Amino acid sequence: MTAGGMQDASRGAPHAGAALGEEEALLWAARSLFSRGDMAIALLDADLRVAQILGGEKFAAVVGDDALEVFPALIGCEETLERIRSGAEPQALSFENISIHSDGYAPQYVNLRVYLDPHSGHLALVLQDAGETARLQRNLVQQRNELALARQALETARDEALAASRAKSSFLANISHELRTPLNVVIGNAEILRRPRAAALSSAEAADYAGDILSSGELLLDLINDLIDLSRAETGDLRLSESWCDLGFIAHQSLRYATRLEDGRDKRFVETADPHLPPFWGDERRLKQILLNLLSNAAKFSPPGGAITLRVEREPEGRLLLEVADEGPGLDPSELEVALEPFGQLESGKRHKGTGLGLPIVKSLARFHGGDLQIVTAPGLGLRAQVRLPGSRFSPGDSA
Amino acid sequence: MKTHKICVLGDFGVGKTSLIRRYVFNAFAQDYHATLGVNLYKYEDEILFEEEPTRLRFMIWDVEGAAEPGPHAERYVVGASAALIVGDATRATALQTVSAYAEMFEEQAPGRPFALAFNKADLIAAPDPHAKLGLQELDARFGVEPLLTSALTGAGVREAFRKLGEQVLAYGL
Ligand SMILES: Nc1nc2c(ncn2[C@@H]2O[C@H](COP(=O)(O)OP(=O)(O)OP(=O)(O)O)[C@@H](O)[C@H]2O)c(=O)[nH]1
Ligand SMILES: [Mg+2]
Repeated sequence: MTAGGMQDASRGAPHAGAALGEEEALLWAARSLFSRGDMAIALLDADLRVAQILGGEKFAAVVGDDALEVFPALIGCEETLERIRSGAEPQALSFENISIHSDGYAPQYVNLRVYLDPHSGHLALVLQDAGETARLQRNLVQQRNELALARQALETARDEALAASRAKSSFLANISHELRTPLNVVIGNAEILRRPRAAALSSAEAADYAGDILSSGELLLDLINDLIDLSRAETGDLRLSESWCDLGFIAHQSLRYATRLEDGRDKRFVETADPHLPPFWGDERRLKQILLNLLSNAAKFSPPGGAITLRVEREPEGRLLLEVADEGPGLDPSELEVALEPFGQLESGKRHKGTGLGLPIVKSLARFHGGDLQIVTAPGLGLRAQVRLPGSRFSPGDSA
Repeated sequence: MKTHKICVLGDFGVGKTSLIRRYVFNAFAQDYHATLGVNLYKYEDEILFEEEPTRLRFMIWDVEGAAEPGPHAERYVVGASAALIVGDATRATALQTVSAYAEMFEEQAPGRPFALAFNKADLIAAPDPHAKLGLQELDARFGVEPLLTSALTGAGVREAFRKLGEQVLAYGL
């Protein structure tokens, strides 16, 4: 016997005389259920108070109480209940597997159904313990969901692995190209210098060839150093060699070097370093590398005559800010994401000289110092690369 | 004081239970216990409404998750003052399921406010998650600004429920 059966019988009784025997039978069936304590019927009066309870010993005490207090699942449903009572709503209100949260206890599930009892004109509320069925259902749901989530996780991992392997392949293709160009210069020029005909070269010409070999060799070395740094950062093997650093000196030196870069010669560099910064605990070579990478990036993307501003200061909250701002074309958010991704950025970097590994390296160097890199940019508005490092690295003696 | 029924809806495993537990108990658990049917939480909060601290009583319905809103979910939202619709920000399907639930709620509870929460934001590394997830689209479609939440860190959680509370009051529900 189910709640549904009872509801149909009590509602569908065509004329009272014929239905009586049926009702008695029903009541008998209901009572035998109640004696097992897994079901109760409450009749609610017009103010939604419990007028009468059939069965379910544990509910006997609630006669006279506000039904919304006794059955909190009804909260909010007052209008719907009124429409059911007036006959405007033919559907019963029905909630399955309701439990009320009580910390530390396994949830007790009940099914609840409210319909109009045509004989009394009262709302009848059937409450049924969902007990064992609910526990089985819950186990099923748990297993089904866990399986589905595991499958999703596998699919995501597979997609990520595929994307990473694609990125690495294209990275390899690009890096091979980058390595080949200077290597060709080295080999080609060395060949020329080695041939017997080389004797016919003027010493100035020979020096030119040798000079190209030197600069190509230096470029190769830069590339390989960048690659080593990146892969060390990826595997976590990068070690900082820390000491007290003079930030003013580091800023000044990096700037001087940047002005001598090929891309730097026609740019206007502006330095706004706070001259009173206390000593900073960090890896001097890596801090210079951060600034140089940012400066040479800015130089690469700035138009001739464009201003590049280096700012080194302590923020009000105490952190160190290293900022390089340029007047270049800027990036849109999708370009930015690519530029920050190791193994993802060479595509756009290829249009320019250099390794194109600058930003990912800066980001990991900043992170190894406990800070981070942030980029503020928009198309047409230039780019501001900001590295923030923890204020705790400043010498405590002179917190300015 | 009136108690407001708030339904928390969405796909399974997106963090509905976790968001409620963060809000109600300020707690978080790593392990996953699927919700069957609905689990009710009573909670009273004080929110700032028209610059006045106002007490609000919620009956929060933590509803069993499903990839799509079905007849069960439709029945559970009867009488809800508002809904918090939750998506998993790490899933490609989030936008789609959240939209489907929002449509269902608009249909079943016309004129009732709802909020859209993209949870597990702690797992998203993108510099601009709103753009990455395409959330502006939802704003345009439902006139509801999507929120990023993390039940793990607590980010955005209280804000999401309180925003709903404010709307419930503003709508005079
Ligand atoms: N990282 C992270 N994990 C979360 C977050 N929220 C929930 N989780 C995890 O996600 C899993 C599912 O969380 P639940 O809160 O049970 O998800 P639910 O939406 O209630 O799931 P159903 O009840 O099945 O519909 C659990 O393992 C949680 O620990 C979050 O913000 N960040
Ligand atoms: Mg849950």
